[in-house]
Amino acid sequence: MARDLSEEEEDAQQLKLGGGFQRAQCLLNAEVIGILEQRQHLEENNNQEFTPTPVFDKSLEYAKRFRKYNNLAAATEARKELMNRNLEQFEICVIGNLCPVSAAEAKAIQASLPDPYRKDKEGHPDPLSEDDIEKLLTDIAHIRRFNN
Amino acid sequence: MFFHIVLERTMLLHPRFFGPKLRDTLTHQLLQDVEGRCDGKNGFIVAVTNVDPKGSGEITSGTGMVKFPVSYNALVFRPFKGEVLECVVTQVFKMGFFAEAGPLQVFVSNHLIPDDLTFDSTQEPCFKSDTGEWRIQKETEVRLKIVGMRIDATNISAIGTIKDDFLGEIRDDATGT
Repeated sequence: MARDLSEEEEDAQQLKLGGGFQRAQCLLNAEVIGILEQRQHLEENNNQEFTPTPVFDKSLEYAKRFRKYNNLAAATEARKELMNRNLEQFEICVIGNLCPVSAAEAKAIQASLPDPYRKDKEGHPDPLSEDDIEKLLTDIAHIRRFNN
Repeated sequence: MFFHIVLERTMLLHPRFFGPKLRDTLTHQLLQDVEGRCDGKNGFIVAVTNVDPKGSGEITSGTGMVKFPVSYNALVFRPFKGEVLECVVTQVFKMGFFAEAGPLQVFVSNHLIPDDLTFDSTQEPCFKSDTGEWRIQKETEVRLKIVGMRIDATNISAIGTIKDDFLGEIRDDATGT
C-alpha cells in the first residue's frame, strides 16, 4: 500500500523523486560506462572470473549506445557547464543525456526548468532565463562537437 | 536514469567463514546477493562499487549465525514516472511496441502513438507515417516519456508515450550522434 502511494507522488517532471533519490547523485550515460568498466576490471585484476548479470550487460550496452560524449573528459566538461547553472541533479542529467537543441525542447522534456518561482539557496529567484538555457545548450553542443 | 547511491543491508554469515578473509567473504556474498536484482524502491542494482562493513557483527542467539550491518555504494538504474528517456525498440506489433532502456522494458500502446503513425505489417512490422518519412520498427531509437510503472517483487516495467512534443523517433541532429 505504501508503495502505491509513493509511486503516485512521484513525478520526475516536477522533480518529485521521493525517498533517497531526491538528493542522490545522478549519472550521465558516459559516466556510467566508466564506472561499469571499472567494476569489470576490479574482478579481472583479482584473477576472478567476472560473470556480468543480464542487468549489467544491458545497462552497459545502453549507456554505450546513448553515451553522447565520446570520452569521460567531455562528459565531465558538460557536467561542469550544467552545474554552473543552478540546476538540480536530475535536470543536469536529463539535459546532459538527451542533449536538446532548443530551450523549448528542453522545457518539453523536463517541465521543471526554468521555473521563475524557484528560489536558489539564498532565496533569490531562479536566474535561469530562456536565453541562458539556449546558451547552455549551445555550450554543450560545442563540447560534444569538439570531442568527436 | 542512472544513480550512484548508498544502500544498507544486514548480512547473515555462517561461523565457518570467520577468519582472516571474513571481509572478502562479506563482500563477495553481498555482490552475489544484490547485483542484478531489482526492487521497487531502488530500481535495478547494476553494480556495487564499494562495500563498507559497519562495525562488528552480532551473534544471533540460537543459530550461531552472525549479523553484519553493511553499507555499500551501488550504481542503480531507477526509472521515474514523468521521466523522458531514450530507448531502443525491440518488438513492434499491432497493439503498440516494446522498447528497452537498459534493464527496463517499456511498452508504448498504440493509443500513445501519434495518430499519423499507422501500423504496417507488409514487411517488417512498423509504425510509419503516410509519406514513410517517419518509421518506428525494431532497433529504432525512440525518445519516450514514462507515464506509468508496474512494480512487482523482482521487476519494474513501464508504460511510455511518444504522443507529445519532441518525443518519438530520434534523428541525428547537426551535432552528430
